This record gives sequence, structure tokens and C-alpha cells, in this order.
Amino acid sequence: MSAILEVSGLTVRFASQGQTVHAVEDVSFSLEAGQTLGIVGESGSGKSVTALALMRLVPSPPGRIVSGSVRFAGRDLLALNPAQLRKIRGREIAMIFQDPMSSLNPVLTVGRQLTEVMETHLGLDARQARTQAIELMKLVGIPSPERRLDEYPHRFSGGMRQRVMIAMAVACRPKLLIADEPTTALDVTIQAQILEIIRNLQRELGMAVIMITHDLGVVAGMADRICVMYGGRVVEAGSARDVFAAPRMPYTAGLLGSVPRLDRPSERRLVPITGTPPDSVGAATSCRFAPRCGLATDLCRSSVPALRTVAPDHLSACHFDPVLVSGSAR
Amino acid sequence: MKPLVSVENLQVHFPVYRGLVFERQVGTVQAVDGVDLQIRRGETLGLVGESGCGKSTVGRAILRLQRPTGGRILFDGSDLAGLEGEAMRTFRRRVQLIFQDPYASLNPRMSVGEVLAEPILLYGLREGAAVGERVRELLSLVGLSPSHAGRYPHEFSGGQRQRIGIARALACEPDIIVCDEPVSALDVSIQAQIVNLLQDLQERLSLAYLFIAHSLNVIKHISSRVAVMYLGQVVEIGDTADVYGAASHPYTRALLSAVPVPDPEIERRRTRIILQGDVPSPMDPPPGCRFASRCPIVQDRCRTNAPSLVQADANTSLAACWRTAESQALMPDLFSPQTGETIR
Ligand SMILES: Nc1ncnc2c1ncn2[C@@H]1O[C@H](COP(=O)(O)OP(=O)(O)O)[C@@H](O)[C@H]1O
Ligand SMILES: Nc1ncnc2c1ncn2[C@@H]1O[C@H](COP(=O)(O)OP(=O)(O)O)[C@@H](O)[C@H]1O
Ligand SMILES: [Mg+2]
Ligand SMILES: [Mg+2]
Repeated sequence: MSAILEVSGLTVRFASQGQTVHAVEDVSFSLEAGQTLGIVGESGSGKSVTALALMRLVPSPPGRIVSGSVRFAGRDLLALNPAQLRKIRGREIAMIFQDPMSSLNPVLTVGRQLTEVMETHLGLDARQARTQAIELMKLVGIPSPERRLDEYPHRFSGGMRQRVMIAMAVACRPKLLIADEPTTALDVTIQAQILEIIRNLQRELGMAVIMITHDLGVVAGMADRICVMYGGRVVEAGSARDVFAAPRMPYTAGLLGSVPRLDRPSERRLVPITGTPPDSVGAATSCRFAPRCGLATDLCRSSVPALRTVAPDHLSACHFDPVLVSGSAR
Repeated sequence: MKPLVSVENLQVHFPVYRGLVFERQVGTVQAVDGVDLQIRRGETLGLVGESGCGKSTVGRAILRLQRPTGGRILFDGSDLAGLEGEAMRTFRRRVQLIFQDPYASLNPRMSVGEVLAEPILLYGLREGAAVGERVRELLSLVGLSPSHAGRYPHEFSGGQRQRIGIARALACEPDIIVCDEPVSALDVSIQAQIVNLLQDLQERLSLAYLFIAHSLNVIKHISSRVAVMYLGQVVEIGDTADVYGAASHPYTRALLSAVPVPDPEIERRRTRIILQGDVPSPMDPPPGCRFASRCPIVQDRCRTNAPSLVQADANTSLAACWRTAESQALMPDLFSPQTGETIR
């Protein structure tokens, strides 16, 4: 199957207080139609900026897409003019965020916002759009849609707002949905509802999904493939199964060791990663994880490891393959 | 031995007012409505539930930051409502609080050393040179360098600020710390550091914790006993192993089934209980069992009669459900890969 999205060498920097933040550095991945890619990493690792860059929404200044290409359904999004880009945004690629309020207009009814999307992008008349909007509201599980269409966003709970956002996002049957921490602000039973809606819609519409989250459980449940980001770079990539079952980058292994597990008997102690996440200021001259890595050597502190294949369809950015290292130490 | 904290039929109701010129009461938020729980010396009681269920209000009532509208709270045998003067002062020292955003509670113009010295002086716990010595000791106790005493809060990362918050609580030499979502805002790798620190401190100082969080896995890891709240009430309480291993209340089961676990194999094929709808408003809680409107095994009687906390047998937790036995059968095994069915 051919890729619907191919990102290659994406690099985004911000000018901030006289310094350069290397927010996203040489990020590459691809995604097939109907597939889910999970992007996971701690705060500041570059997940949101990657997503914004795909849609060319990085605020500029202070941000700048320095290099790279984003091929979506055969076109390079980074080369399109603004008019061409507008046709793709919201119609072929849609995005949802952690805070639906930031993207909903508080002074327009939910129905008005939903129908507007369809009138603009699909050329529907007001009547058709309203009928469609009701269907969409049903699709995302909003009770009494006819009545709720005429209400304003503040009348909706957090979970209901996120449903509205999803309805707006899928109104034009996009080929790709980018979901940036869509359930982070929600309670766990509401999160389960929203994730189920996204899964079902994906199956129904055949859309590809990029699920961005810091929650390893959420990616495990949603993603076919995973990119782990750290300090602006992809440090491990592969199928969800491989990355969780046999992480090859020490950071990924460390993250998995840090989370208490519901599905296992309680360990007496967690094994945290020492130190704090990097701020991505300045160009990297070493592995960004080296200061926190128990396996780091002088090589790690003096050169940036490339993302390389360590097993079939499994990439890791580590100078040493920890599986091999611990194997030879034994 | 008598418990350190005993919460008896606690009720905290907030009046709700409307109106521009003449405010009038239009209702009551039943934030906490009939909560019983005990915290023993040196133990961690986990308090878990979705946002708005009343966890923080219970914590605030125990700290005497919130007056109950009903019931009572005993600390070391004395009723909080009656505390005055010196007894009140001692109580204030012995019960401490750390919360989600330590930055908000740290005076930005005070150095960390000053922040820590303040309670030591206030309660007269050290004098003269011993104060500075104690400050340095506290810093190293929480894993910060004693040489950082001269720095200001903004110079620290989120995880380090939480350490400062913990050190300030410890400065009072408390018996119990109410930890209200202390790791919720932190990155995963930092969460684990703080959780380990809290466990180490408990062991060294035989502290008790009321650990409030919405994260079920953190609660499982740190608690010896757990109370699950829903809409102002405790619906299940018991030993952590019992609550997590064989939850008796359908809400607890639903919560546990909703937490994604970092294992794609389990995620693909586990049984899920997807609760329908939102939590009802605490201004107008349903009569009968408060969970009835979302419960997958609801019966007629649940909508009219409120169940009280009962223990099905000696090996289970206390649960407020008419159908405790059936709720265990509803989802026999939470995490072993099964057919991937969905229960609604
Ligand atoms: N508008 C901005 N100005 C300056 N720096 C920014 C801006 N947006 C993001 N950054 C920086 O880019 C890096 C990556 O941020 P982000 O992609 O938001 O992280 P994540 O989503 O993984 O938490 C961070 O160091 C962040 O501070
Ligand atoms: N001072 C207050 N006045 C009115 N309502 C309040 C007040 N404090 C809390 N509440 C309400 O009480 C309920 C319980 O709140 P809280 O204890 O903060 O829940 P939790 O900590 O579990 O999220 C919520 O509905 C909240 O809105
Ligand atoms: Mg982000
Ligand atoms: Mg709270």
C-alpha cells in the first residue's frame, strides 16, 4: 500500500530570547491510508510543533520550517500556495486539539459552526448542511442533536465539546485526522468514549490518524505504528507491537519503566529516568538523552546518533543497540 | 489503635446563588454527601475518582480549610470543630498539604531557604543556627542540593518545585500530608521520581498520606488502601489489592476498564466497559444510587433506593451496590486478553 503521508527531514526552529529552539529536528515518518500513527513523548519533545508544521500552521515569527518535505497524497504541502493549502486544511486534513474551546467560537451556536464548515468546503446549502450536521452529531454520540445544535459551546461539557470538535473535523470526510492530545483534559471514562468514537470513525471513513499523546496507554490502544520523540527528534520508530514488546532506545525503555502498571502486580518501586527533559535550546552536538542515560559513553556525549534500522521495520537513534549491549554484558 | 483521621458522615454542601441585584439561593452543590473513611498512622489512603466528585473537598475538610455542613472529622481523637488556640496551632502543624501546582503556592520573592525557614520559625521547631541547618537537611531529604537554598522558585523545574513543596510540608514535621494531585501536572519520567520520593519519605518518617488523584495507576502503586468516589460519595473502599484485583462496584470496574495500559496486545483484546453519558450534576444528584444513570447493570430498585457500603465477604472491599456479587461476574478478568467485547 502506498503512503498517504510522507514526512521527510522536517526541521522547525523558533527564535526565542536570542536563542534558537530546535523544536523539531530532522523528523521523518510515513503513514498509510487508514492507519494510525502514534506520536508519543513528554512535554516539549516537539509533538505539537510537528503536527502544526504538517499543516503549515507554525506561528511565524518566531517559528520557521527550516527544511524538509511533507508529501500528502502526492503533493508537497510545504510548496503549496496559501489558496491551495486552505483547500486541503479542514477538508482533506483535519485537526483536533486538547482544548476544544480554543477552536470553538464562543459566540456562535455549535450548529452554525458545523454547518459553516460544510457550506465552505462542500458547497452545501443551509438546509442540507443542517441535516448533515444532525447526522454528524449522532455519529459522535451527542444526545438530542436537533436541540443541541442551537446551543452555544459553553453549554457543553468537556467531553461533549470534544465530540463537537470531532464532528467538525470529520464533516468533510478527511483523509487524515491529526489529534493532538485529544483526551488529555478529560476524565478516564470520557476518554474511553472519545477514543472509541475516533476508532469507529476511522473504520467507517477509512481515514488515517495521527494520535499525539504523552500517554503510553493511549498509543498502545490506538496506534499501528509509533514514533517516540525526545528533544525534537524521533528516537525510536516501529510497529506498536515491537516498540512496546522490545524497546530498543534506552529512553523508550525508561519511559515504560516509569509508569505504574494496572495490568501487573504492583512493583515495590518505580524505576524513574533521572534528571529532567531537555529544552532543545541550541543545536544538538550529542545524544539529547545522554545526560539521563545509564548506558551513555563518551561517544554519546560527543555525537548525535542517527535514527537507524535495528531490526526489520524498527528504528532506533542510539549509538549502541541496548539489546546487544545488555546481551553482551550478561 | 485509634485512627489518625476519622471522617464520619462528612457532608459539604455549597449554596449556589443567582441574580444580579437580589441574590437568591437557587440550589445546593452536594460536593460531599455522607463520606466515612479512616486514615491510619503511617499508611497511604488513596482517594480516586473523576473530576468534580469531591476529592479535594474531602481533603480541604480534613485540613479544616473547609467547614463541613454535616458530620464530623476527628484528628487523633479530637473533633476538628472544637479545636482552638494551642490545640489548633498544633493541628495546623501536624496536617500538611501539597498540591498539583506548587508554584502557585510559593512566594516568588522568597528564596527557597526562606520558604523552608518560615514554618520552622513559626512553630518554633528550631532556633538560631539550627534553622539553617534544618533547611539544608530538608533540601537534601527531598533530593535537592543544600546549596540551592539561595535560589528562587522560578529557577526550578516543575519536578523540583514539587520537591520544594514537599520540603515545606516536611518542615512542619507533620503526621499526615494531604497530597492533592501532586504528580498530575508532571511528565511521566518526573512523576516516577516524585512517587518514589514520597514513598521513601513515608518509610523514613512514618508519615501518613491522603493521596488524592484521578490517575488510577498512580493510586494503585502508592496506596495501601483506596477509596473510590463518585458524585460526592465513597462507592468503594478497601485494601488496594482487593479494590484493584476484584473490584466490587461496577463504577470501579468501569474506571479500571477505561484506563489504557501500555501493552498493545492487551489493549486490542481486553473487555471494555464504556459508560454512557456524563456524570450528573452535583446540584441535582439522582435519587437512589447516584451511579444508576450510567450503570451497565442497573435495576429498578437502584433508581429509588440508595445502597450503603457493605462487605460481601471477608476478602473483599466495602462497596455501595445492590448487585455486588453480579458486578464481579460482569467482567471477570480485567486485563487478560479476551475477546475484546464492549459492555455498555
Ligand atoms: N511559539 C513558540 N515560541 C517559542 N518556542 C516554542 C513555540 N512553540 C513551541 N516552542 C518550543 O518548541 C519545543 C517543542 O514544543 P511542542 O511541540 O509544543 O512540544 P510537545 O507538544 O511535545 O509538548 C518546546 O521546546 C517549545 O518550548
Ligand atoms: N467553593 C465552592 N463553591 C461551590 N462549589 C464548589 C466549591 N468547591 C467545590 N465545589 C464543587 O464541588 C464539587 C466537588 O469539587 P472538588 O472537591 O474540587 O472535586 P474533585 O477534587 O474531585 O475534582 C464540584 O462540583 C465543584 O464544582
Ligand atoms: Mg503538545
Ligand atoms: Mg480536585
